[in-house]
Amino acid sequence: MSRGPRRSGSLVDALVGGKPLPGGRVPDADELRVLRAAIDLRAAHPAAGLPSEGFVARLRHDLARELDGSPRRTAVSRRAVLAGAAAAAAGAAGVVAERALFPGGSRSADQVALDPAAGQWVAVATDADLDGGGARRIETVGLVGFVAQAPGGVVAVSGVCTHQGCLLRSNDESRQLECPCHQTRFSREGKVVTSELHPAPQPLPRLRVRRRNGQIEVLAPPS
Amino acid sequence: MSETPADDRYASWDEVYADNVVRVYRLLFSRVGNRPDAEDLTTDVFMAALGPLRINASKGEVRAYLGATARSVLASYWRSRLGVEVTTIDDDLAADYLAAPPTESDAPARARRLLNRLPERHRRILELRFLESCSIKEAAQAMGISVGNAKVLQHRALRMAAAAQEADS
Repeated sequence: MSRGPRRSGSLVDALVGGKPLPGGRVPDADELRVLRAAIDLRAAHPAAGLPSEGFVARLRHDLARELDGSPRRTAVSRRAVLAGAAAAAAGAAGVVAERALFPGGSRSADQVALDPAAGQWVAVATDADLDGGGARRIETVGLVGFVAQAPGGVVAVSGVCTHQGCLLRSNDESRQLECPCHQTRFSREGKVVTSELHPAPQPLPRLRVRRRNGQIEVLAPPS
Repeated sequence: MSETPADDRYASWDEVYADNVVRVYRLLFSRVGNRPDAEDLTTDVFMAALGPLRINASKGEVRAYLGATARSVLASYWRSRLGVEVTTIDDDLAADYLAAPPTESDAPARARRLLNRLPERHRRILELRFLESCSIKEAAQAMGISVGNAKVLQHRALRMAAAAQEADS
Protein backbone atom coordinates (compact mmCIF):
# COMPACT_ATOMS: atom_id res chain seq x y z
CA MET A 1 0.00 0.00 0.00
CA SER A 2 1.23 3.53 -0.56
CA ARG A 3 2.70 5.53 2.29
CA GLY A 4 -0.09 8.07 2.05
CA PRO A 5 0.45 11.81 2.13
CA ARG A 6 3.41 12.05 4.45
CA ARG A 7 6.43 11.68 2.20
CA SER A 8 5.18 12.97 -1.13
CA GLY A 9 3.61 15.75 0.93
CA SER A 10 7.00 17.34 1.49
CA LEU A 11 7.77 17.30 -2.23
CA VAL A 12 4.34 18.71 -3.12
CA ASP A 13 4.58 21.28 -0.33
CA ALA A 14 7.87 22.51 -1.75
CA LEU A 15 6.33 22.88 -5.22
CA VAL A 16 3.25 24.67 -3.99
CA GLY A 17 5.41 26.95 -1.88
CA GLY A 18 7.51 27.80 -4.92
CA LYS A 19 10.57 26.28 -3.27
CA PRO A 20 13.23 24.04 -4.78
CA LEU A 21 12.56 20.33 -4.48
CA PRO A 22 14.25 18.85 -1.41
CA GLY A 23 16.62 15.98 -1.98
CA GLY A 24 16.54 12.76 -0.05
CA ARG A 25 15.23 9.25 -0.28
CA VAL A 26 14.32 7.91 -3.70
CA PRO A 27 10.54 8.27 -4.15
CA ASP A 28 8.56 5.09 -4.77
CA ALA A 29 6.28 4.58 -7.76
CA ASP A 30 3.24 6.10 -6.08
CA GLU A 31 5.15 9.14 -4.87
CA LEU A 32 6.52 9.58 -8.39
CA ARG A 33 3.07 9.63 -9.97
CA VAL A 34 1.89 12.19 -7.45
CA LEU A 35 4.98 14.30 -8.02
CA ARG A 36 4.55 14.25 -11.80
CA ALA A 37 0.90 15.25 -11.51
CA ALA A 38 1.88 18.09 -9.18
CA ILE A 39 4.57 19.31 -11.60
CA ASP A 40 2.05 19.31 -14.45
CA LEU A 41 -0.49 21.24 -12.42
CA ARG A 42 2.15 23.83 -11.62
CA ALA A 43 2.24 24.63 -15.33
CA ALA A 44 -0.89 26.69 -14.74
CA HIS A 45 0.91 28.88 -12.20
CA PRO A 46 2.09 32.36 -13.29
CA ALA A 47 5.69 31.56 -12.34
CA ALA A 48 5.72 29.02 -15.16
CA GLY A 49 5.89 31.79 -17.72
CA LEU A 50 8.69 34.03 -16.52
CA PRO A 51 11.71 33.86 -14.23
CA SER A 52 12.00 36.18 -11.23
CA GLU A 53 12.74 39.83 -11.70
CA GLY A 54 16.37 40.52 -12.46
CA PHE A 55 17.20 36.90 -13.24
CA VAL A 56 17.67 37.45 -16.96
CA ALA A 57 19.95 40.46 -16.44
CA ARG A 58 21.97 38.79 -13.67
CA LEU A 59 22.59 35.65 -15.68
CA ARG A 60 23.58 37.69 -18.69
CA HIS A 61 26.09 39.54 -16.53
CA ASP A 62 27.53 36.31 -15.13
CA LEU A 63 27.77 34.80 -18.60
CA ALA A 64 29.59 37.86 -19.88
CA ARG A 65 32.18 37.44 -17.14
CA GLU A 66 32.56 33.76 -17.97
CA LEU A 67 32.76 34.14 -21.72
CA ASP A 68 34.56 37.43 -22.20
CA GLY A 69 37.02 36.73 -19.40
CA SER A 70 38.26 33.49 -20.90
CA PRO A 71 42.05 33.42 -21.16
CA ARG A 72 42.15 32.60 -24.86
CA ARG A 73 40.00 35.57 -25.82
CA THR A 74 41.71 37.96 -23.41
CA ALA A 75 45.08 36.97 -24.83
CA VAL A 76 43.94 37.79 -28.32
CA SER A 77 42.69 41.21 -27.35
CA ARG A 78 45.87 41.96 -25.39
CA ARG A 79 47.95 41.16 -28.42
CA ALA A 80 45.74 43.41 -30.48
CA VAL A 81 46.30 46.22 -27.99
CA LEU A 82 50.06 45.80 -27.97
CA ALA A 83 50.01 46.03 -31.76
CA GLY A 84 53.44 46.09 -33.32
CA ALA A 85 54.83 43.42 -35.60
CA ALA A 86 56.73 41.64 -32.82
CA ALA A 87 53.67 41.02 -30.68
CA ALA A 88 51.48 40.01 -33.59
CA ALA A 89 54.08 37.84 -35.28
CA ALA A 90 54.13 34.80 -33.02
CA GLY A 91 52.72 33.66 -29.71
CA ALA A 92 56.11 33.17 -28.06
CA ALA A 93 57.38 36.57 -29.09
CA GLY A 94 54.21 38.19 -27.79
CA VAL A 95 54.53 36.55 -24.40
CA VAL A 96 58.15 37.51 -23.98
CA ALA A 97 57.41 41.10 -24.99
CA GLU A 98 54.61 41.34 -22.42
CA ARG A 99 56.83 40.20 -19.58
CA ALA A 100 59.63 42.59 -20.51
CA LEU A 101 57.19 45.49 -20.43
CA PHE A 102 55.74 44.58 -17.04
CA PRO A 103 58.48 43.06 -14.91
CA GLY A 104 56.74 43.70 -11.61
CA GLY A 105 53.43 42.09 -12.45
CA SER A 106 51.83 39.65 -14.80
CA ARG A 107 49.12 40.36 -17.34
CA SER A 108 45.64 38.91 -16.92
CA ALA A 109 46.25 37.35 -20.33
CA ASP A 110 48.13 34.62 -18.50
CA GLN A 111 45.41 33.83 -16.00
CA VAL A 112 43.76 30.47 -16.53
CA ALA A 113 40.59 28.90 -15.18
CA LEU A 114 40.95 25.62 -13.33
CA ASP A 115 38.77 23.47 -15.55
CA PRO A 116 38.84 19.73 -14.76
CA ALA A 117 37.62 17.53 -17.60
CA ALA A 118 35.09 15.66 -15.44
CA GLY A 119 34.76 18.15 -12.61
CA GLN A 120 32.16 18.03 -9.90
CA TRP A 121 30.50 20.95 -8.18
CA VAL A 122 31.26 20.85 -4.46
CA ALA A 123 29.73 23.09 -1.78
CA VAL A 124 32.54 24.83 0.10
CA ALA A 125 30.89 27.69 1.98
CA THR A 126 27.58 29.40 2.61
CA ASP A 127 26.55 32.92 1.62
CA ALA A 128 26.74 33.83 5.30
CA ASP A 129 30.38 32.76 5.48
CA LEU A 130 31.33 35.54 3.08
CA ASP A 131 29.33 38.28 4.75
CA GLY A 132 32.17 39.62 6.86
CA GLY A 133 34.13 40.68 3.79
CA GLY A 134 36.97 38.26 4.41
CA ALA A 135 38.38 35.67 2.04
CA ARG A 136 37.50 32.18 3.12
CA ARG A 137 40.02 29.43 2.74
CA ILE A 138 38.50 26.32 1.21
CA GLU A 139 39.86 22.85 0.88
CA THR A 140 38.08 20.13 -0.99
CA VAL A 141 38.62 17.21 -3.32
CA GLY A 142 41.86 17.87 -5.14
CA LEU A 143 42.23 21.57 -4.45
CA VAL A 144 42.78 24.37 -1.95
CA GLY A 145 41.77 27.93 -2.57
CA PHE A 146 40.07 31.11 -1.40
CA VAL A 147 36.52 32.31 -1.94
CA ALA A 148 35.48 35.93 -1.43
CA GLN A 149 32.78 38.43 -2.23
CA ALA A 150 33.76 40.73 -5.12
CA PRO A 151 31.84 43.61 -6.74
CA GLY A 152 30.76 41.45 -9.66
CA GLY A 153 29.81 38.45 -7.58
CA VAL A 154 31.64 35.63 -5.89
CA VAL A 155 35.25 35.03 -6.87
CA ALA A 156 37.38 31.96 -6.19
CA VAL A 157 41.03 31.27 -6.89
CA SER A 158 43.55 28.53 -6.28
CA GLY A 159 45.42 28.90 -3.00
CA VAL A 160 48.72 27.55 -4.29
CA CYS A 161 51.41 30.06 -5.18
CA THR A 162 52.21 29.79 -8.87
CA HIS A 163 55.92 30.29 -8.19
CA GLN A 164 57.00 27.19 -6.27
CA GLY A 165 53.80 25.73 -4.83
CA CYS A 166 53.69 27.17 -1.31
CA LEU A 167 50.23 27.54 0.18
CA LEU A 168 48.98 31.10 0.38
CA ARG A 169 47.55 32.84 3.39
CA SER A 170 44.76 35.40 3.43
CA ASN A 171 45.43 38.86 4.79
CA ASP A 172 41.97 40.23 5.48
CA GLU A 173 43.25 43.70 6.30
CA SER A 174 44.99 44.23 3.00
CA ARG A 175 42.40 42.04 1.22
CA GLN A 176 45.22 40.11 -0.40
CA LEU A 177 46.57 36.59 -0.50
CA GLU A 178 50.21 36.31 0.56
CA CYS A 179 52.87 33.74 -0.07
CA PRO A 180 55.04 33.04 3.00
CA CYS A 181 57.95 31.80 0.86
CA HIS A 182 58.89 34.90 -1.13
CA GLN A 183 56.25 37.44 -0.08
CA THR A 184 54.46 37.61 -3.39
CA ARG A 185 51.03 39.11 -2.93
CA PHE A 186 47.99 38.33 -5.04
CA SER A 187 44.61 40.02 -5.21
CA ARG A 188 41.56 37.92 -4.40
CA GLU A 189 40.95 37.75 -8.13
CA GLY A 190 44.36 36.12 -8.48
CA LYS A 191 46.32 38.96 -10.07
CA VAL A 192 49.88 39.58 -8.86
CA VAL A 193 49.92 42.78 -6.82
CA THR A 194 53.55 42.84 -5.70
CA SER A 195 56.42 40.44 -6.14
CA GLU A 196 60.16 40.51 -5.54
CA LEU A 197 60.61 37.82 -8.14
CA HIS A 198 61.70 38.41 -11.73
CA PRO A 199 59.85 37.52 -13.77
CA ALA A 200 56.81 37.79 -11.55
CA PRO A 201 54.82 34.58 -11.03
CA GLN A 202 51.75 33.77 -13.09
CA PRO A 203 48.40 34.92 -11.76
CA LEU A 204 46.50 32.36 -9.70
CA PRO A 205 44.19 30.04 -11.60
CA ARG A 206 40.55 31.06 -11.13
CA LEU A 207 38.19 28.42 -9.87
CA ARG A 208 34.79 28.11 -11.46
CA VAL A 209 32.34 29.13 -8.78
CA ARG A 210 28.59 29.44 -8.49
CA ARG A 211 25.82 29.93 -5.96
CA ARG A 212 23.23 27.23 -5.29
CA ASN A 213 20.54 27.31 -2.61
CA GLY A 214 22.51 29.71 -0.43
CA GLN A 215 25.69 27.68 -0.83
CA ILE A 216 28.85 28.58 -2.66
CA GLU A 217 30.10 25.76 -4.90
CA VAL A 218 33.35 25.36 -6.80
CA LEU A 219 34.12 23.05 -9.70
CA ALA A 220 36.55 20.53 -8.23
CA PRO A 221 38.45 17.60 -9.73
CA PRO A 222 36.63 14.25 -9.74
CA SER A 223 37.09 12.28 -6.54
CA MET B 1 28.78 23.67 -49.94
CA SER B 2 25.59 25.42 -48.86
CA GLU B 3 25.83 28.55 -46.75
CA THR B 4 23.54 29.48 -43.93
CA PRO B 5 21.81 32.74 -44.90
CA ALA B 6 22.72 35.59 -42.58
CA ASP B 7 19.23 36.06 -41.20
CA ASP B 8 19.13 32.42 -40.14
CA ARG B 9 22.13 32.88 -37.86
CA TYR B 10 22.75 34.61 -34.56
CA ALA B 11 25.34 37.38 -34.68
CA SER B 12 26.65 36.86 -31.13
CA TRP B 13 26.16 34.82 -27.96
CA ASP B 14 24.24 37.83 -26.67
CA GLU B 15 21.59 37.28 -29.33
CA VAL B 16 21.50 33.55 -28.65
CA TYR B 17 20.89 34.34 -25.02
CA ALA B 18 18.29 37.08 -25.54
CA ASP B 19 16.32 34.97 -27.97
CA ASN B 20 16.33 31.78 -25.93
CA VAL B 21 16.69 32.43 -22.21
CA VAL B 22 12.97 32.68 -21.43
CA ARG B 23 12.14 29.73 -23.71
CA VAL B 24 14.69 27.56 -21.96
CA TYR B 25 13.35 28.71 -18.59
CA ARG B 26 9.79 27.78 -19.57
CA LEU B 27 10.89 24.41 -20.86
CA LEU B 28 12.67 23.65 -17.60
CA PHE B 29 9.84 24.96 -15.42
CA SER B 30 7.48 22.59 -17.17
CA ARG B 31 9.79 19.75 -16.07
CA VAL B 32 10.53 20.73 -12.45
CA GLY B 33 7.49 22.75 -11.41
CA ASN B 34 9.27 25.40 -9.36
CA ARG B 35 11.05 28.63 -10.15
CA PRO B 36 14.28 28.37 -8.13
CA ASP B 37 15.25 25.04 -9.70
CA ALA B 38 14.11 26.19 -13.15
CA GLU B 39 16.35 29.25 -12.83
CA ASP B 40 19.33 27.23 -11.59
CA LEU B 41 18.95 24.79 -14.45
CA THR B 42 18.56 27.60 -16.98
CA THR B 43 21.85 28.99 -15.66
CA ASP B 44 23.47 25.57 -16.07
CA VAL B 45 22.27 25.26 -19.66
CA PHE B 46 23.70 28.57 -20.78
CA MET B 47 26.92 28.21 -18.81
CA ALA B 48 27.50 24.84 -20.41
CA ALA B 49 26.31 25.59 -23.93
CA LEU B 50 27.47 29.08 -24.82
CA GLY B 51 31.19 28.40 -24.61
CA PRO B 52 31.31 25.47 -27.05
CA LEU B 53 28.53 26.84 -29.26
CA ARG B 54 29.28 27.48 -32.95
CA ILE B 55 27.87 30.96 -33.43
CA ASN B 56 27.67 30.58 -37.21
CA ALA B 57 25.45 27.50 -36.99
CA SER B 58 21.85 27.98 -38.09
CA LYS B 59 19.33 29.08 -35.49
CA GLY B 60 17.69 25.66 -35.71
CA GLU B 61 20.98 23.97 -34.91
CA VAL B 62 21.65 26.34 -32.03
CA ARG B 63 18.22 25.65 -30.54
CA ALA B 64 18.66 21.92 -31.00
CA TYR B 65 21.96 22.18 -29.13
CA LEU B 66 20.32 24.14 -26.30
CA GLY B 67 17.57 21.51 -26.14
CA ALA B 68 20.10 18.68 -25.92
CA THR B 69 21.98 20.54 -23.20
CA ALA B 70 18.75 21.09 -21.29
CA ARG B 71 17.98 17.37 -21.55
CA SER B 72 21.26 16.39 -19.94
CA VAL B 73 21.17 19.19 -17.34
CA LEU B 74 17.72 17.99 -16.29
CA ALA B 75 18.85 14.36 -16.07
CA SER B 76 21.79 15.37 -13.87
CA TYR B 77 19.48 17.35 -11.63
CA TRP B 78 17.12 14.42 -11.05
CA ARG B 79 19.99 12.05 -10.42
CA SER B 80 21.53 14.22 -7.74
CA ARG B 81 18.28 15.52 -6.21
CA LEU B 82 16.07 12.43 -6.01
CA GLY B 83 18.08 9.62 -7.56
CA VAL B 84 15.42 8.90 -10.17
CA GLU B 85 14.41 10.56 -13.44
CA VAL B 86 11.02 12.11 -12.69
CA THR B 87 10.58 14.01 -15.95
CA THR B 88 12.50 14.11 -19.22
CA ILE B 89 12.83 16.30 -22.29
CA ASP B 90 12.22 14.56 -25.59
CA ASP B 91 12.89 16.11 -28.99
CA ASP B 92 9.27 17.10 -29.56
CA LEU B 93 8.98 18.86 -26.24
CA ALA B 94 12.25 20.74 -26.76
CA ALA B 95 11.10 21.77 -30.23
CA ASP B 96 7.74 23.01 -28.89
CA TYR B 97 9.34 25.28 -26.36
CA LEU B 98 12.27 26.46 -28.44
CA ALA B 99 10.48 26.89 -31.78
CA ALA B 100 10.36 30.16 -33.63
CA PRO B 101 8.10 31.93 -33.60
CA PRO B 102 7.45 31.02 -29.93
CA THR B 103 4.27 29.02 -29.58
CA GLU B 104 1.88 29.96 -26.80
CA SER B 105 2.24 27.11 -24.35
CA ASP B 106 -0.93 25.11 -23.90
CA ALA B 107 0.37 23.59 -20.68
CA PRO B 108 -1.76 25.91 -18.51
CA ALA B 109 -4.89 25.00 -20.50
CA ARG B 110 -4.08 21.30 -20.22
CA ALA B 111 -3.61 21.64 -16.46
CA ARG B 112 -7.02 23.33 -16.28
CA ARG B 113 -8.67 20.60 -18.33
CA LEU B 114 -7.13 17.99 -16.09
CA LEU B 115 -8.53 19.70 -13.02
CA ASN B 116 -11.97 19.95 -14.56
CA ARG B 117 -12.17 16.19 -14.82
CA LEU B 118 -11.98 15.76 -11.07
CA PRO B 119 -14.91 15.68 -8.65
CA GLU B 120 -15.76 19.06 -7.12
CA ARG B 121 -13.91 18.82 -3.79
CA HIS B 122 -10.84 17.19 -5.28
CA ARG B 123 -10.66 19.87 -7.95
CA ARG B 124 -11.13 22.61 -5.37
CA ILE B 125 -8.28 21.55 -3.09
CA LEU B 126 -5.90 21.40 -6.03
CA GLU B 127 -7.02 24.78 -7.34
CA LEU B 128 -6.47 26.33 -3.94
CA ARG B 129 -3.04 24.74 -3.56
CA PHE B 130 -1.66 24.95 -7.09
CA LEU B 131 -3.31 27.90 -8.73
CA GLU B 132 -3.84 30.09 -5.70
CA SER B 133 -0.75 28.96 -3.76
CA CYS B 134 -2.66 28.56 -0.51
CA SER B 135 -1.02 26.88 2.43
CA ILE B 136 -2.63 23.66 3.62
CA LYS B 137 -4.08 25.55 6.55
CA GLU B 138 -5.59 28.26 4.30
CA ALA B 139 -6.99 25.67 1.94
CA ALA B 140 -8.50 23.70 4.83
CA GLN B 141 -10.12 26.86 6.17
CA ALA B 142 -11.48 27.84 2.76
CA MET B 143 -13.10 24.42 2.44
CA GLY B 144 -14.26 24.20 6.03
CA ILE B 145 -12.33 21.00 6.79
CA SER B 146 -9.51 20.08 9.13
CA VAL B 147 -5.87 20.31 8.09
CA GLY B 148 -5.55 16.54 8.35
CA ASN B 149 -8.52 16.03 6.04
CA ALA B 150 -7.13 18.58 3.62
CA LYS B 151 -3.85 16.68 3.40
CA VAL B 152 -5.58 13.39 2.69
CA LEU B 153 -7.93 15.04 0.18
CA GLN B 154 -5.00 16.66 -1.61
CA HIS B 155 -3.12 13.40 -1.81
CA ARG B 156 -6.13 11.56 -3.21
CA ALA B 157 -6.82 14.37 -5.66
CA LEU B 158 -3.27 14.23 -6.97
CA ARG B 159 -3.47 10.48 -7.41
CA MET B 160 -6.72 10.92 -9.32
CA ALA B 161 -5.12 13.58 -11.50
CA ALA B 162 -2.17 11.26 -12.13
CA ALA B 163 -4.48 8.41 -13.07
CA ALA B 164 -6.45 10.66 -15.42
CA GLN B 165 -3.25 11.72 -17.15
CA GLU B 166 -2.01 8.17 -17.52
CA ALA B 167 -5.36 7.12 -18.97
CA ASP B 168 -4.91 9.80 -21.62
CA SER B 169 -1.41 8.90 -22.77
